[in-house]
Amino acid sequence: MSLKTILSNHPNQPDQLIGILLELQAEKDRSFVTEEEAREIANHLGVTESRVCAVLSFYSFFATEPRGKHVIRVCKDVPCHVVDDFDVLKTVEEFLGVKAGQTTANQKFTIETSSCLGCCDHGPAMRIDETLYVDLTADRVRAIIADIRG
Amino acid sequence: MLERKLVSARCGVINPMSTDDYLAHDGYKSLEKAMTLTKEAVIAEVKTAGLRGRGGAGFPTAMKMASLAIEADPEKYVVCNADEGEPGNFKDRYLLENDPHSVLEGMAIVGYATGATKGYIYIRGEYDLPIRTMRWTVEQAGRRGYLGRMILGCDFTFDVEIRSGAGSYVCGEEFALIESIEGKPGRTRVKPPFPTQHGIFGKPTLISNVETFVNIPVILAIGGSEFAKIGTKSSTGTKLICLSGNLNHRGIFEIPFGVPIRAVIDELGGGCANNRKIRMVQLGGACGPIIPPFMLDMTIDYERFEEFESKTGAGAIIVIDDRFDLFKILLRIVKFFAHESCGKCVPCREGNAQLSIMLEKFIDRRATPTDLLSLESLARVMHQTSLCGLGQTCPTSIIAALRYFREDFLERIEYPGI
Ligand SMILES: Cc1cc2nc3c(=O)[nH]c(=O)nc-3n(C[C@H](O)[C@H](O)[C@H](O)COP(=O)(O)O)c2cc1C
Ligand code: SF4
Ligand code: FES
Repeated sequence: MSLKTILSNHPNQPDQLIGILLELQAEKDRSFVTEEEAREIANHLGVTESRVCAVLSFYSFFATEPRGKHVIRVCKDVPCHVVDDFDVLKTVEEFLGVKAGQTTANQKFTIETSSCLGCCDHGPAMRIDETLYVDLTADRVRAIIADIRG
Repeated sequence: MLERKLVSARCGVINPMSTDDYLAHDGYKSLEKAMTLTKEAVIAEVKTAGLRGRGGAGFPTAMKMASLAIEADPEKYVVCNADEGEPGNFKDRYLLENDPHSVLEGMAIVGYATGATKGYIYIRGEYDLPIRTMRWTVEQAGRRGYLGRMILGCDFTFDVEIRSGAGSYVCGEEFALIESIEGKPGRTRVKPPFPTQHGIFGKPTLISNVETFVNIPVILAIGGSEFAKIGTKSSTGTKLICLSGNLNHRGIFEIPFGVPIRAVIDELGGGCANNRKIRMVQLGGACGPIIPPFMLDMTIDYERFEEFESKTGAGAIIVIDDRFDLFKILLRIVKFFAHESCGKCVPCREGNAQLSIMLEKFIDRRATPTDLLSLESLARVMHQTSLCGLGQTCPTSIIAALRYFREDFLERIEYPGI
């Protein structure tokens, strides 16, 4: 779906901004929003560009720099931490050869840390794109990523 | 039997993706019943039940409903807060995924009783499945005439829209949530006016938690006075408890208020995992107190929890065993808040950064007696002067630890010259 189509699916109201940005990012390969897109959305909704930028920088889902094709978010909060016997984050970082906050050279994966994912009874947990992965073990972490890498 | 299933009675029993199944399990009967009553009578029933909000603050729900009902504005909103981002909490997700219609039924009843015209469910962006489930359920409910125009053939119109968050914990705070629904960054406002006077788009708005809404059809079904017999005097009904951490059985359990924490941990949680010992327990979530094992005989109810000066309800119980260092756990909690702080006010924005630095000194055994005093006073200042609940409650774990784990702090201090 192009930005034009997304915009035409939403009423011209400022409260649609977050929904539009979420849809736009989900459509894009590198899940980020460009300056031109921000401007187009601002014009369409009749809000200032700075308003769109403020929203982009406030919410952790949004990015203005390209991310990898897949974004891996590792939960780092206490309920997961205390049942994480092997260090999920380190396992992911070692497997992909980049650190949290970085993107792999082939632009395929970005690693991020995340606040609680709401599945603490099945921690440790991580979320890749729109899917939750729970009850992780080191082998499972590697298998999941290898599977996505193809 | 410790458990008592009222709110979660259908969870795991019905197929959440079948409206027929919901109807076969008395679904929408409470809405039908409510609509044979006057609006005042519905609110009175909730008042008799003594229901208090399950989102953390424990505010009486009937009072909130009454304040929305008296507003004369023709446009009023009911918002279901499903932003559940507090580490250790996952009960709202459980309800949204397993009994989605009951959330809508509760909202429609509240909408009817308060004269609201529209409902929103604000679901955190990380909850992909609940968002999909609720979108589907809203559509189904509309088709069957339980949402939309002329509900059940009466002069009552109520639509529900699903809104997704985009990765921000503070958006669970009511004014931040309102800002977010309006399409802005989730930064809170100064109150009063309260949302029931001046909420979304400046219109009167009632905001309640998912579990609170699901209690409403239960109250209509069994009656307010029966409901009030469950639990304790100050806390009626049941509570969904989220057990996590180093336990043999983690998960969601529904208990009547008044049960001791230790019983929940031992009987439902199966005790500490791997035969280890409990070192500390955090109650409510990241914004709740950390207590030592000897305090676990306290019962779960709003009154007991007030002593911690945190508004935390009794949602989460996070058990941490003796392999973990108190100060590293506290630091992890502070880092969560530092990351989630919206930055609008100084005590919270700067305070969390300073708390991190101080805790690191305790971790490295570099802390001085002055650091202990500074830590204590900073935590107090943040609690008293922050603009919203995030900054006010984020030092709760530290304040509690300073009280109940005092020796641990003293033991880490370096006394110069000694
Ligand atoms: C930082 C912060 C986050 C919050 N997050 C939530 C949340 O995720 N869900 C929720 O129901 N209430 C949350 N609350 C409490 C809400 O502000 C509000 O009190 C609650 O939704 C009212 O619902 P209730 O009356 O049913 O308890 C949060 C409060 C603060 C200060
Ligand atoms: S207390 Fe924290 S989250 Fe709340 S308004 Fe102040 S800076 Fe923002
Ligand atoms: S702490 Fe990891 S999912 Fe809650």
